[in-house]
Amino acid sequence: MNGAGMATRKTDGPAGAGGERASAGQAPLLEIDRLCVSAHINGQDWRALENITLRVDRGETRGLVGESGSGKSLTLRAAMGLLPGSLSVTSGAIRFKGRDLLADGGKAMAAVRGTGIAMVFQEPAVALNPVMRVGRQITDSVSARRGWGRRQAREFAVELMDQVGIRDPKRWVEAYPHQLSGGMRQRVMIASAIACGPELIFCDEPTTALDVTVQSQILKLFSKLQADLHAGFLYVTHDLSVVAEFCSSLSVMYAGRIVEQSDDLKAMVQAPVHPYTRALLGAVPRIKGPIQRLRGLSSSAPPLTERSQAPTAPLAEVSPGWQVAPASPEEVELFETGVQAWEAQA
Amino acid sequence: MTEVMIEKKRAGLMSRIGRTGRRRGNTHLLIGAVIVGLIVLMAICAPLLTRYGPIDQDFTATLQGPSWTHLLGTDNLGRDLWSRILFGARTDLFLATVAVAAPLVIGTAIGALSGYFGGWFDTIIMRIADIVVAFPFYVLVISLVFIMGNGVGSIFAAISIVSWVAYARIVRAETMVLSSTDFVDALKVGGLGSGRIVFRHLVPNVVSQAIVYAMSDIVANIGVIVTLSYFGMGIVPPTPDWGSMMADGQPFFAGGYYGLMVVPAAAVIVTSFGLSLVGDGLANVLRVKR
Repeated sequence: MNGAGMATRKTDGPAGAGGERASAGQAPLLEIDRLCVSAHINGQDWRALENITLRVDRGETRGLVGESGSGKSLTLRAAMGLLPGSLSVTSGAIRFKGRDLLADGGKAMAAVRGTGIAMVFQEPAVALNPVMRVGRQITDSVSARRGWGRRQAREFAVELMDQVGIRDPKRWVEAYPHQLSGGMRQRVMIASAIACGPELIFCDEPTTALDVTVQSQILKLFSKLQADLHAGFLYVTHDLSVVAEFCSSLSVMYAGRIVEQSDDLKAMVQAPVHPYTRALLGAVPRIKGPIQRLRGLSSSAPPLTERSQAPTAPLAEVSPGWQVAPASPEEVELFETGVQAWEAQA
Repeated sequence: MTEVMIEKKRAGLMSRIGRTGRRRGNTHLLIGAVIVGLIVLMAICAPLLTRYGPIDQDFTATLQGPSWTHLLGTDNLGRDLWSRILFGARTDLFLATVAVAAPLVIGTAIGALSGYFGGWFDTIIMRIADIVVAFPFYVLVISLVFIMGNGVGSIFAAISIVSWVAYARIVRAETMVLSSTDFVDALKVGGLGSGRIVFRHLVPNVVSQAIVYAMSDIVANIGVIVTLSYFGMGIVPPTPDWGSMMADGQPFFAGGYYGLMVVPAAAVIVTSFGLSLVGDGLANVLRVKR
């Protein structure tokens, strides 16, 4: 099912997607435009995110990958207005259906939360209220909005739990989160995310905390929801196999910047342009095909305070819908030699 | 881990405590509950347990020792000591409980809001709290009662003004910890308003700490009420109360009428003991399970 969906999507290609955008004359579902986020540490500002530009359309699933500390989750949090106190947006815009969410003092943001954009968190064990029954929790935002009574909310909760694949939902609707397994908790989390019928769903590594079998079940659920809801997904992960299975487009982040992104996942994965993307993809073990040495990077991204504070050059277009950041000679060297060092070590 | 939790849930409270070696907590709770339960029952059924009114004077039978007509004897005005102890329990326990409920509710609400919003609101609240805490408890309560005058109302007001601070601090700290977790972010993303997040989601998570504190606070309140009344600043004379009973009985102590002072004192001690046990036991049972 998922494979077929992806296939049709891919035959459309980036050109098809571009045409859709142009012809509809509609603003994209989510457009992050040159977003910069700074961390304020010891009286000094450090750029945590730099000129993040990406878009997600209806029905699109964009993967956002990068190593730990590259700013993937931060990008999601910034787009949801959930930045912790020490971080702030310094410039740029986040537009949801053309409306700037950062303008008018958070009113626009409040209006899209839940109904427009929802989010699935990484660790369902800490993202659920431990002392509230899951049924009420799932429907709390809907009940608050529509003034539903307890019975109506409960019926809807059962319905949603059924939709996210919890068997025997009537039995579990009155359970507390600690009584559920990790996979069920994540399903509950997803149920509460889709409760208000969002058009865009942020997924912050939703399967990282789960074991592999549960992970594949949850991914299947996401694929089903992709088909059912026709919502846009922005899927943060560092698991490239998840991206391959689930996403139609991909953005790669490194050290708070987007280094390469394409509306056509397959084309980009086959011929990555940026040395970092090459290194990242080279680090994925392959089961099929000729035996190759596993490649990798010898060092991880520099910490915030050691990053270059020089402004970055804008992304260059490789082909329509495919942009890449210009890599400085040092970066090329770092990523290429990193790969070589790894090979030498092995 | 999940299986263990489900198992614990199934086996119930006793096994949870047994497993972690905290059986002590439940024994305390049981003994405390029995003591407090008896005293409360006696206070409620006071008119059924005695033939005399607490303020009925009988000048033909003053300063009598224990007998079948007067179980614990009478005081210098011929009032039955047993009735006065029973009705005194009504006054003192009722006031102590009410004077805990108000600060519990007010302090929890203020503390939760303060911890959730932070910023200038939090700063102002916490500076006020610092000012209140800077004064010794009794000094502040006694001055407030002195300003407002004797009586049940002003004791209640004085205790409330001073002791909401403790609840606000406890709840604020817990709320701050919770506010920085994904759980609150998830609620915000769900589009819930701040009021709903604070009072529907955060407060139920943090209130158990405040309730545990409230149990020990009742004991403190009984102490305050009895102390104030003993000094003649609390409950106004004809109303029976353990503190004023002790004060009234004191002049007769040297004359050998020990009961007039010892009995109300014992009532205070037993009640406080029972409440402390309940508080201790509750603290163990309600200890954060996260």
